[in-house]
Amino acid sequence: MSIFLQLLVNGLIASSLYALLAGGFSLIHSVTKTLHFAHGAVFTSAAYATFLLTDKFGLNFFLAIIFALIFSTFLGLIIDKLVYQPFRNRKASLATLLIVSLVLLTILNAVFLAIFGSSAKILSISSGQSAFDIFARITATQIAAIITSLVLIIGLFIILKRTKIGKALRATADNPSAAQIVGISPNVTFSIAFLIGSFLASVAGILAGTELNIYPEMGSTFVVKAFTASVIGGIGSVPGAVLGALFLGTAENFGIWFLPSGFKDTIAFGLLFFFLLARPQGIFGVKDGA
Amino acid sequence: MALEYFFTIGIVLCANIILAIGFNIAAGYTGMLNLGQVALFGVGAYTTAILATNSVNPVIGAIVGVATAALAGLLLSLPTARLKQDYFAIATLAFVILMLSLARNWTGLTRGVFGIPKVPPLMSGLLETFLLGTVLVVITFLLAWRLVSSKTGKVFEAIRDDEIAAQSLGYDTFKYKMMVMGISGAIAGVAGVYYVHFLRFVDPSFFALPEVIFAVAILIIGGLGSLLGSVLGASVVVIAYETIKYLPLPLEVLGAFRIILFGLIVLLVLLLRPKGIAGRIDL
Repeated sequence: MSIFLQLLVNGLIASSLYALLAGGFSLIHSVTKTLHFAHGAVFTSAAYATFLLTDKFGLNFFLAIIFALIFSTFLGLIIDKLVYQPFRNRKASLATLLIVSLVLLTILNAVFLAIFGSSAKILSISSGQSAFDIFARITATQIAAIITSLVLIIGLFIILKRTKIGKALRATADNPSAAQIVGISPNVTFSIAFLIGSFLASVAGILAGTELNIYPEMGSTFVVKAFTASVIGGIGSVPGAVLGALFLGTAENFGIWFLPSGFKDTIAFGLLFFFLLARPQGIFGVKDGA
Repeated sequence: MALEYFFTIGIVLCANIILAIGFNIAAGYTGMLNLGQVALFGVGAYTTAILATNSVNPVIGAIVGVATAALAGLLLSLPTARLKQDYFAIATLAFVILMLSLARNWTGLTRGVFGIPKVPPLMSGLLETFLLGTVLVVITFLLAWRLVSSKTGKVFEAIRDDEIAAQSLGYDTFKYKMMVMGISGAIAGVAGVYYVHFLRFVDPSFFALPEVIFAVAILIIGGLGSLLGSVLGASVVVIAYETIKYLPLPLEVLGAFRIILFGLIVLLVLLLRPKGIAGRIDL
């Protein structure tokens, strides 16, 4: 088995998780201008909800996934309405909203810690399944993860480009006050952005739960990586974020060809600073953050 | 016993006041919300800990530690100082996670998750350590006071209020921002070096996200753009932090409870009183 193909497959699996998270993060950011860090907690909550329902309450896995998706998507919506909205109403600065989202992420991580403890949890569905050898070792859930992610990302693009909702979202992202004049309520588009974004994050959380250990802070690193992906692709562009995610997932997995596997995060954030320094407009050339 | 406990809290407080002053010079006076401040604290702590445990004189190690933190701050400014405030904040947060990852994985240098124990103390006893801390707080406060009241300090505030206007007056704002990150990095380094020689131990948890939140809590509760606010904010948070220890809760729940409580306080302060205790500006 060639190492190259194995790393490529591993990179693809990581990329598909990052793409789901980064796509939603970038959508929420471009529409609402909020850098929504608590997105990471929405992600983690879906993994824990699935764990709770399947491994503790013995629910059927697919039923558990549906409930987990509903719960975590709803959590994302609530965060926007209950926490961010009051700050927006007070015309709080973007930096304030960033701190709010960061504090919220930390609070929710602590809630997970208080409920589930610091020890890592594993979904029973992911243990003990046999791996196929197609090009490289890959399990059925990994294949499912890649396909799910691909389908959802394509779906996201179709919604954004081909539907009225997508048009409204893009209009709000472009110019909220002009959008409002033609009858697009930002309250509605904000909620739709949080709905779609949180749904994607919840899917990513469940997929990550089948693939990795579930622990309270798992979402923190993931959401900063989603940000990194959107910097690499070009801040403010959803396709850019997805492309950045692909690049990031591949790069950090090929990086461990040369370094021990613990250095994945070092590689990822090293890349972030490289891009900020050398190409702040990202691969897609949208220059919004600088 | 009681006196020793008092000194211990005093020492923790001194480290936090110094860290908060550096943070406030960047975030409050210059508008650079450098969440990496906590990482620079850790960089100072690790540097001096590594040197001192490898039989370098602790005083020389301490100086090198401060210098390394200042240099790390300068280097961090290169990719980040041109970013808008919220992007700057996240990029500097990513620096914290980068350092966390290095501290965990560069085991040859940092011993990974085991951390570095038996860091030799700078002073012989608790009282002396506390007195050193007090002296450091006073020196840091006075120097910071001079800096923010100087013409340079006014340029910092001009950058915060309107960077383009400051540029149009001929100030090279990027250079000033680099300077701010170097200075606040050095101050964070002082705090980190001082603290690690008291704790005599450093591990990757120095770079954990809750540490960032505690630093932010001190900044927000004390108030932006006020050195006195940093002193008061640090005092409130450290004393509350220590008091919570006595609640009859299991250790893991206690840690979580503490984070939730401080987090909620920060959210409420930001919503209801964005200037904190003594701040002059909103975030």
